[in-house]
Amino acid sequence: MSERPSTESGTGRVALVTGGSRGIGAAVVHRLAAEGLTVHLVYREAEEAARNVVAAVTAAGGRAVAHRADVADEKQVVDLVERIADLEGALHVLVNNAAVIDDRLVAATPTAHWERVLRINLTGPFLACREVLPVMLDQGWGRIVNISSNSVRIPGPGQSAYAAAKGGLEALTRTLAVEVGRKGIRINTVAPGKVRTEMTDAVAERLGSDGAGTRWGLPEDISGLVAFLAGDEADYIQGQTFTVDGGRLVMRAAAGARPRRAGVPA
Amino acid sequence: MSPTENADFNVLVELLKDVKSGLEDQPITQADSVVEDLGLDSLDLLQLARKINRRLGVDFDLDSWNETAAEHRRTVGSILAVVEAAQRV
Repeated sequence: MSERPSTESGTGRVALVTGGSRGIGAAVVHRLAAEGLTVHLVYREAEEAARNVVAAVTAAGGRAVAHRADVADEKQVVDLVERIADLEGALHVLVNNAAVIDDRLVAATPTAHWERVLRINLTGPFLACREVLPVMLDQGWGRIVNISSNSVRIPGPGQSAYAAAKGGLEALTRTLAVEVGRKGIRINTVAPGKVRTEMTDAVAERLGSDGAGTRWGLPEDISGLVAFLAGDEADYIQGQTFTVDGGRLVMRAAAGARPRRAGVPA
Repeated sequence: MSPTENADFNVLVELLKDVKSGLEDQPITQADSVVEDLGLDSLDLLQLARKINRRLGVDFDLDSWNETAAEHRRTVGSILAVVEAAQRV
């Protein structure tokens, strides 16, 4: 029997957002809090940024709580979810956003480097999913949104570990959807294109602008869809990956399918 | 069944119907296997175990119970036996 929250808005619901102190994660925290959810955000190092997010949410009349934790550390993830579930008595939404970019060519990638990226970007979300699922099963309602990347479909040199992890995350999304979809839980992926954040600053110059003329995205370009997928209206959306890139992916595909004439449709 | 056992059975039936859709109108007995007769799968069992722990105030060890499935066919009665043993401790 589904124990769906009684209101149509997010009021009364509880969310956990990993990597919530900066970039896309911070935008998601703000958006969910504005919709009435209590948002627990996780940060690893950026304590001041996390404090600032909580202060801004509080000033806007919302509720956010910051937790320092390493999503790659199993015990920390287990303890974190247990702490939130005990404190709130519920956990309705998980946004797996925390990730690292540390690009290297495969030929120059030490095993430890590969494993670290996979650990943070794929094992971390797996751990968080595994820990929140029993709580969501108890509720008969839950939303998980995994943040992937366009790198899965259009990787650049050096992105092997990052793209492999994000591709794995999309596969995890689909598998989980098959496993627990009938229990009122929805799992979907949002795959941003180039979004300007502190994390992407390091690779911004190399990625540069796009021949297709698409701009860099902003975290707020992503957070709206994440909030939608975290709500009631996403009830019939399951196991999907949504690209949010200003059209970059589709324009690249079109450019590859016909002779290129700058700025003029073929 | 003692009054306590009977009360626990009624709670367990309620939880089974809560976990598995389609059981609402089905009569359930202690001899029914929750897997073979009632159709619960591993995810349903995980969900059921958590509900048992919360509603009946016991620590139902799902792994241990599954390991001895050959002996008890995972019947409703076998769950009640575990619950009753836990309550005696």
